[in-house]
Amino acid sequence: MTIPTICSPDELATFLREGVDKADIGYIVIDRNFRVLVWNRWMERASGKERAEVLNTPFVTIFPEIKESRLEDAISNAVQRGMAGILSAKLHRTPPLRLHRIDGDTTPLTNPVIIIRPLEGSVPERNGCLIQIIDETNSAIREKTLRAQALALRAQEEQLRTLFEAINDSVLLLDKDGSIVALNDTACRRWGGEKDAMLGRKFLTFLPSPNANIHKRHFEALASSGMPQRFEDSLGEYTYLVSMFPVPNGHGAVHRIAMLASDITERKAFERRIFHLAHHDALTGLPNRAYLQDRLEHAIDLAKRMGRRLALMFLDLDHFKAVNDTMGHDSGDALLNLVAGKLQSSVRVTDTVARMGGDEFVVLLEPAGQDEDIARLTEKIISTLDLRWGSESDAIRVTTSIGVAVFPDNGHDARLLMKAADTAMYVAKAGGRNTFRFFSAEMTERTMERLHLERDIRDAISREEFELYYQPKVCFRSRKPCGVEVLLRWRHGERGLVSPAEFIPLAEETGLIVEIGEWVLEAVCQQIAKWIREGRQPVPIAVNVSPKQLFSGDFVALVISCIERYSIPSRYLQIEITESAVMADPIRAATTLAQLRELGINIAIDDFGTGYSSLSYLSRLPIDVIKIDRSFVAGLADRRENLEIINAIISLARALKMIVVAEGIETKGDVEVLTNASCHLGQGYLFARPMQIGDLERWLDARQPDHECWGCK
Amino acid sequence: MTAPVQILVVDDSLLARMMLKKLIVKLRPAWQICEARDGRDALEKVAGRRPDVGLIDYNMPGMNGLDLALRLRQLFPGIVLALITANIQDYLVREARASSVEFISKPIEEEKISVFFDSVEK
Amino acid sequence: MMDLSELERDAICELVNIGIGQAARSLGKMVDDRVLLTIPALELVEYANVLAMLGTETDAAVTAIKERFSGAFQGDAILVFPEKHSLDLVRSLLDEDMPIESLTELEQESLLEVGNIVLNACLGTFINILSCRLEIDLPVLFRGSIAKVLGQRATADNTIYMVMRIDFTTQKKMIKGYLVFLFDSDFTTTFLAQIHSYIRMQR
Repeated sequence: MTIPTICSPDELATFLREGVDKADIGYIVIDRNFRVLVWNRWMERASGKERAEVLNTPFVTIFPEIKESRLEDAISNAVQRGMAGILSAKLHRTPPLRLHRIDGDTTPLTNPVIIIRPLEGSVPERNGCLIQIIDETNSAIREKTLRAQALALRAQEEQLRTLFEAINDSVLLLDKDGSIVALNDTACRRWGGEKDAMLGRKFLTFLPSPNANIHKRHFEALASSGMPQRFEDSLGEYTYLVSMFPVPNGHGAVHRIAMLASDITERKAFERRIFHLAHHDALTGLPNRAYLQDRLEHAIDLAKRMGRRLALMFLDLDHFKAVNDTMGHDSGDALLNLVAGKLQSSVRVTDTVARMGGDEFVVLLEPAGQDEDIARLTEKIISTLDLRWGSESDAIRVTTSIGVAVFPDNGHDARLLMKAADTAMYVAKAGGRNTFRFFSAEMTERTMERLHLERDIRDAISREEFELYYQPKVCFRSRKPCGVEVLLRWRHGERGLVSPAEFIPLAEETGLIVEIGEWVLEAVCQQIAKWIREGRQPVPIAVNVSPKQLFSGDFVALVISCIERYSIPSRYLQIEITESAVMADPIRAATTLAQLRELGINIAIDDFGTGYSSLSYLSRLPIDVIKIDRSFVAGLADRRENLEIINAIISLARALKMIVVAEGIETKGDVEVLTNASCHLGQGYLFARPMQIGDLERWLDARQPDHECWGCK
Repeated sequence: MTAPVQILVVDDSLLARMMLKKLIVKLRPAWQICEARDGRDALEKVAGRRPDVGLIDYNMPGMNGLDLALRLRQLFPGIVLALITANIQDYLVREARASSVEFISKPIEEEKISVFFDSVEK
Repeated sequence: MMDLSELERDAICELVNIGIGQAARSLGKMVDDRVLLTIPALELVEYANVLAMLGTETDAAVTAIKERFSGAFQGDAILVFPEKHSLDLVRSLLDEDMPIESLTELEQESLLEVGNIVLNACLGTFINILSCRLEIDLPVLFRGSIAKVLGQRATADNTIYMVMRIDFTTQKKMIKGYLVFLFDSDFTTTFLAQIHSYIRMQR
């Protein structure tokens, strides 16, 4: 080292000495024997030892703690072998030198850094070494703060990076030109690339072109508008929800673009599943009523635009109830599945087969051909669904009834079409089942109501919806009860009480009246037997018999069987039959009535006066009682002409030894007039309304029936 | 006339074996030298012999020098052994001495070997 | 590629072995624990092979402590290990339970001192045993690529590097590091000449 000669050697020596003394580090020079040659002011303060004390003293004497220590090794290495060394107190359990801090207090100097450099003497024997001791306390504190901040930042960065990588969605950070700035592992996997190879490249190049187009459109929209974008895209079997949003720089301008792609494949599948569950029948997997409604509305919209025809078939299995009842619900369910399958394979893929519930199915033909084509397909379905269900021995034949409605012929909206097909189906059922009907205008609502009513009547007996009411007849002379007429009431499960005027004609028409009549007759005989059993003297009960039943051929046998079964005297049973019924076939009527009379049963002609029969003609029939229709009785006091008719009837009847009953007695005036006219018996609200059996019994008990009354004999 | 002293030299370094043989020839010309390059080689070489002295390197492939020394001690209870090694950590010195095995630090120097040989003959 | 004879290899290994043994003793004393340092391999290789030997890519991050030596022969002695191991090294030499924050704080100086101990011990053995004179400067810490540590050299560079693998172990942890001696220009030959004369002396 050359020392510049800008100052004198003396000056230089002074400056060097003073410089060393004023240095803010410990500065020691020792010779090869470890004797101290230089000891600066800093060392005096840190060690508490004056320069005079230590000069020429071996270093080990001043600091005995360095014996066999790393510091001693390092000093030896420097002095003897010219090797520089560095010691950091931090790595050592104890400070290499016992010093204290020089800034006023006497805190031990715990973390000095000691730097040792060899000094080359004029000859090797004069080699020495320089020991510099640096108090790192202050810088350590500063450094510690900086490090803590750096660590916190590093930790935060680490957390973000962990999050970034842990996210199961693809996350990409894009430059404004679409090149990839960063991407997470998920993105790498999904996009099938090596991270390093993807960085810096345009993200669109990693997408198949249809997907790239969608992404490009949204990317450009975001770039120009700054508005976040959100869209769905699918790649193979996967569906993604892609979000793109701007990442602003410090000044709010779009700096980069973040793109997230969430795999929503499962969610989509779930949604489809939920949709399926909501729109399909759980048993057969067919579209359900709600879904069909939807499909039908769409089909109609489309058919309107395209000028096409649609056909809607409403199917109902015949005798399905029997399958369920006798073979169990599992068997019923299996049958429904079989039907569903057969239906689906009978139609085209564009057609819809739906299950409405129960044993009802609907087929929507979209588009539909001409009526002949539809009829052909319907016939095919009917024959396909003509099945024998169950094991050989007790198989049940299952058939199908189908109603067909056509758009636009039978309705312009879904509701009307469904109703029309339903109506047609009922007509098909009524027409004997295992058949189909096209809807036609004649199938009015009235017809439908009748059809429904018919179905309900059929069910009413088994559901025990029929009830018997009894209306007493009273003798005008004794004013005592002397018999009752039994009347049928129908308490419908949904409609409440149904008027006999509403259902009796229909029951007549469909022949159901026969079944009902049998039930009534049975119930009445049972009641009479019960009275006898209870020791109560019965009053005669009159049963209305319909012409259908009267002429059914085995009515007499039925009556005999009932009387015998319940062991009741036949005189307590009366038969009422309308005038018009008798007049429909007087010869057959006469035969049957005669047989009944032989048994000792009273015969009454009901509603007398409404027909055109002459009383003289009736006289040839085996008749015991004539019941004058209420229309003659109503307002009798004011209407003289009716009184004359009644008088005529009564006098003739008396002549023929018949008993006359006036119906519809409502006022005391009626009673007075009819009593004066010598009418035998009366029936009407004035005396009593029709009552259920309990009320009747109480009513009779209170009035003591006249069992010997002339009219009751 | 007693039988010549047999000395076993084990070191994976050829140079080290050469240096040791040179010193043995110089210091104890009468001794018979048997050399091996590792623990397994040594155990094979001593079969049928009865070594009196062993100079064993510590850091060798396979068995380390101290384990070899203990094995030799089992085979030849009277054998005098020294570990000669560059690994001069205190724990190793303690472990060697605890097993009555002398510890000689590398580098190999005539004086260290000579002192050891003197102690062997006492 | 320069080949080494078995004796040359033994001699160099022996020198470094002795140096490392001393370094281990110093470290062991400091941390009051056993420090195991093993030297399984020595290679004289060219630049490209240094990278291959260190088993990492050219730009993989490493931590290195480098000491400049000059005198009888001159060059750099470098202790290298993967950057992720540098904290482990410090941790293994210190309290295992020490919080990472304190470790980071200690890392730089501790690494410098560990490097200084290991490198000085090796170079000191050269000086002692080869009876040559070397001046050794203070250690410098590097972080970054190996290329940066070795001082950007072209892969065509045919300078010979002397590379040794060294495993530091305390208790459970095994930390792999490498010692690299990089001699300036034709000082490799000078070094080998010294080794030869040492071998001759021993025969």
